[in-house]
Amino acid sequence: MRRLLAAALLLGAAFAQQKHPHFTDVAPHSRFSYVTNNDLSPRKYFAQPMCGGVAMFDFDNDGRMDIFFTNGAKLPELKKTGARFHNCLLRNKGGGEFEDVAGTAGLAGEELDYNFGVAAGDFDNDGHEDLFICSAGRNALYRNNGNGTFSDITARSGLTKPPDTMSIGAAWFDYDNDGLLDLVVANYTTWSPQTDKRCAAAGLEYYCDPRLFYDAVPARLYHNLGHGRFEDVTEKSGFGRATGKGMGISIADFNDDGYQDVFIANDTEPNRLFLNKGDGIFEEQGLPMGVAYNDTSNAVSSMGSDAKDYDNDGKVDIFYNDLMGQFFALFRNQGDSFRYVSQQTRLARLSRPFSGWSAAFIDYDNDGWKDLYSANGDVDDNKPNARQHDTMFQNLGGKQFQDVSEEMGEGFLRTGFQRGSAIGDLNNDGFEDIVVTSLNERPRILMNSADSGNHWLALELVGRYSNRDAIGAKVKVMTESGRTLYNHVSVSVGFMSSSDKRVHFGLGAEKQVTSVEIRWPRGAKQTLADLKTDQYIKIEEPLPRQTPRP
Amino acid sequence: MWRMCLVGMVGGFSFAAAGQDSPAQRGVDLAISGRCTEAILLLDQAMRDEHIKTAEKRTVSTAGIRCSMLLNQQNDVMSFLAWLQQQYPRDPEILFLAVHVFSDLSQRNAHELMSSSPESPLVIQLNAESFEKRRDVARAIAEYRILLRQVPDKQGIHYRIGGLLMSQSSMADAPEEAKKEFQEEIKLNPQNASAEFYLGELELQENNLSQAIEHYKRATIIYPGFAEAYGRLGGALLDSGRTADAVAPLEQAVILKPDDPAFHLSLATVYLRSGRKADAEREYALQKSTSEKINQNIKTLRKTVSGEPAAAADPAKQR
Repeated sequence: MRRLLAAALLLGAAFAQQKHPHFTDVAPHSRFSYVTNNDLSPRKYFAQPMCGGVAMFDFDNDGRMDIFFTNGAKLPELKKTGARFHNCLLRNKGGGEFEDVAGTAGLAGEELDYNFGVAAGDFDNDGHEDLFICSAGRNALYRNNGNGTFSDITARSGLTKPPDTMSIGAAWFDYDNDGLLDLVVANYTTWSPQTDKRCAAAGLEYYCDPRLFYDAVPARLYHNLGHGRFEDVTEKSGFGRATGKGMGISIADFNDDGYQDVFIANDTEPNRLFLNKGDGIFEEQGLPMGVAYNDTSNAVSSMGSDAKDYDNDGKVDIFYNDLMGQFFALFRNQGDSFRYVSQQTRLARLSRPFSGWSAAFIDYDNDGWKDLYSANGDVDDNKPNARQHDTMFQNLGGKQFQDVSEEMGEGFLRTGFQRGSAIGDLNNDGFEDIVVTSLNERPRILMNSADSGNHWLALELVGRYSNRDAIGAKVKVMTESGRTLYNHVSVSVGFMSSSDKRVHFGLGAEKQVTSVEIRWPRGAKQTLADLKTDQYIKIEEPLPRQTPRP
Repeated sequence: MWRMCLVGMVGGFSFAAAGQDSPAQRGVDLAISGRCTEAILLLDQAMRDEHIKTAEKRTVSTAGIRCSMLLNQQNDVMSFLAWLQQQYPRDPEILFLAVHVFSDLSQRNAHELMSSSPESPLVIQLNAESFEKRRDVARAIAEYRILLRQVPDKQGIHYRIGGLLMSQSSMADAPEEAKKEFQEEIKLNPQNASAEFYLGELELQENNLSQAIEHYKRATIIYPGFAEAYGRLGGALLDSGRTADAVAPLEQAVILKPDDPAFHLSLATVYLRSGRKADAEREYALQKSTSEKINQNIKTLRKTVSGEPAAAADPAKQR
């Protein structure tokens, strides 16, 4: 009896102190030569701090998420003069091993310039994920041929931009709900190695303050016309009226009107929130909606961003990170506007020492509360604490966050100049993993130890009337205990990166989901009842009667 | 130092109105040559002379400051400087001079305090403040605590410790500890508006809006010129859904600090939510203009301090 009691007490103690999963870097187990190469040299070019975009997507439809990395180029030539600047496609072989197939896939990018962000999306609805790559130089659209190779179809796509525009990130989304993914590209400024400004003190160069020498430019919106053709609708859509120094892009239906809106985090400029009017016009409403600035009305160095519902109230909130001395910003969606809650959620205090780049909401422990990951490292290497480790801020019931970074494992805590990152489930165990690049180092592939004991449910939505990736689809999950959780299909996450498109729900101790409600981008509603947890479910959109795909 | 500055700033000046042999000119010449004991009487006399022009008195008073500093006649220093500040309120040269005067006087008085009253608790406070300025938070707090052991009811010290604790992002219990310090401060000095303000900030961080509102309110009652407290009060009222109540404090914040874009932004938000679109537009415009002005100042400052990119750095010129 006494032994039983002791066992019960031990069990009680174990439940009382929930185990946190941690992350292990499995990149060293795979042979690949990719290093995020920004061509660092004593001559400091403005483009160098921004290198190493990541996409997590299943390019060969084998059910395993693969990884794509962008890379820099030789400066001032702005050309990929050798293999050390090539982009990289890591095919997921399973078992935590990856192989570089960029060469055979036609994605090494030998002919490209200095690449930044990458956006994965099936723009032609053929069931194969395509890639758009942002650059200083020419942007590129790669069509997935469905046989393990890609074709550069930029030339005939109509995806043009003004000369020397520095494109940092991009996001696929269907703004007019015609079933075809359109594209928004966040541009930073106009720049080329020839116009690069040089800043130096005591003979040492440093990266110039963008406020002094580089002008803001508008993001560009491209309407998908079908058949691999796009029309630049920047001016007529309203995007052309608001400039910025675009970094992270987050797509969501912030005002729940059925149309996808666009948030762009701007470096040293007011952030922009483009609200979709539904008639092809966007209205920039960052200021009245309360997300243009933090609460001191200062434009900070907004970097990566993500838009998810962190407090499970059914409304999509906004997060972005910024540089040390500033505070990472969390805006709670109140329905008619946003409220800056970095102070109240303790994020202000937790984030002050860090310079964040990519960022994401990630329910790393599957407790049903989306935590906050930030890939950190300062802009330049000239400060004592410039090399930084990533941070994980755990969401405590949608009220506050606490820093659990120290518990995330050695691989997670590696210091460096982290830049791009993608979130997704690389081994399909239901726990989200992280892939993150660091300047002039190999990337890390951080596998989640998946040992919190919590349950989960993940959905792979396939649009048939809506865009095939179902980007923008909203999902509401209700559990046995009456808990309600929300998420939506969103791949543009963080900075220069693209995440797993599958919709993930951590469920805590819940073993049964009573209902899943899906609102597809083109309006269809679908409900599934009584689902078991701990599984991936593929759900196809119901077709409306007599409505052919465009 | 003051002797060298003197030559740099007033050397070569001649008095057209007063004449080359005037007492003013002789005073300045003596000051330049370092004969300050003789110079100071003439300079003082020149400042009282109604026939000497303001521009000439500027030179006289600058020389007067230099000589008074060399002679350590602090009252005279303050008189000369007060005249300059009154006549040339935004003159960069005068502002620069004032920075050096006050900095030097601060050091001199600190040394005087330490040498004349080494046992005084104020020496401990000075030491703590010195650590605080150097951002050595742990040692500053330790010094303040030593001071409190000696003078437990000294006002302002719990407040300083609380402020230092609030800056410690790595200490998990820092907010709770800071709160205790501010509460202790208010027990000693219920009129400390800043302590009330920071208690409001700590309650806001915990999302305790009603408690935050009470603290901010008390801060504004104690110190009606406390713009930040009005601003935060308005923000907290807005966040708690009391939009109508938020209008007055935010309007007051804008009156007190019309150049602060954050107050205009908050007020615009309140107006917008109250259906006062025209007022909101006006405040948004003011937010934009005040923000742009600050940004422009920052830009100019940065360019001045760090310098334009060197001519040699122009890529076109490098080739």
